[in-house]
Amino acid sequence: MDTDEWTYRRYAVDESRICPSGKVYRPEAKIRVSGTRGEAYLRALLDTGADHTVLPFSIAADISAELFEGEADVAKGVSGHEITIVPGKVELELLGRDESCRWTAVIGFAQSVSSMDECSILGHAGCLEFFLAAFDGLSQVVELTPRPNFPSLAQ
Amino acid sequence: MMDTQQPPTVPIEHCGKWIAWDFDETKIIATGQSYAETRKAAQAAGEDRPVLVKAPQADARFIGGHR
Repeated sequence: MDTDEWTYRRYAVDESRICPSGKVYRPEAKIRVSGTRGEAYLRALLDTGADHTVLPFSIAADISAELFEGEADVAKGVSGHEITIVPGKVELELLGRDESCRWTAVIGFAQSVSSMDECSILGHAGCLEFFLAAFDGLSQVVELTPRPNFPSLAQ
Repeated sequence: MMDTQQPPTVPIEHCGKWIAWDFDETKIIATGQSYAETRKAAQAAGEDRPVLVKAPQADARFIGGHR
């Protein structure tokens, strides 16, 4: 399996002192996530600061993910705000232009208080732990290369 | 595997919303306040495999995790 590359996604936002260009650039990858009765296609943030891979709970319901409801955990962001994450077993697939790689993982489904707080994050456990990641801020490309601990070499 | 085509900048009016792209991510098919609503709208517009993403808020900087 080869190195995979994704171009950062640009979003227009309010201009400010901390963001004078009025644009933010996000290293996101296109993924497919599958549960027991459905699948969803997402753009998810590649986040080396996240301990875990976390998707919104609404997606768990949509794809009928196999949930471990009695084993919910707590997650905190930099603000210290707590959210509940419910573990769920899914198949994840990173989608490039012509190829893909997929694996099975237990990830977290976040029960956000508001839809405004929802986000899709590919963190270490469940995703980045299996790759060498290179973030090129100049060319705004992120590269992922599977490492020998990658759980499946399908396709 | 390469996905290095520069996609269009997501316009500011979509900030804070769920966005559904077509499968090739060349155009935005639908937007909405929830994942389910947005996916449903994209499928109603004829896109069987919409690619959904939550856009950042225009006036709040995302610095990881819950905000």
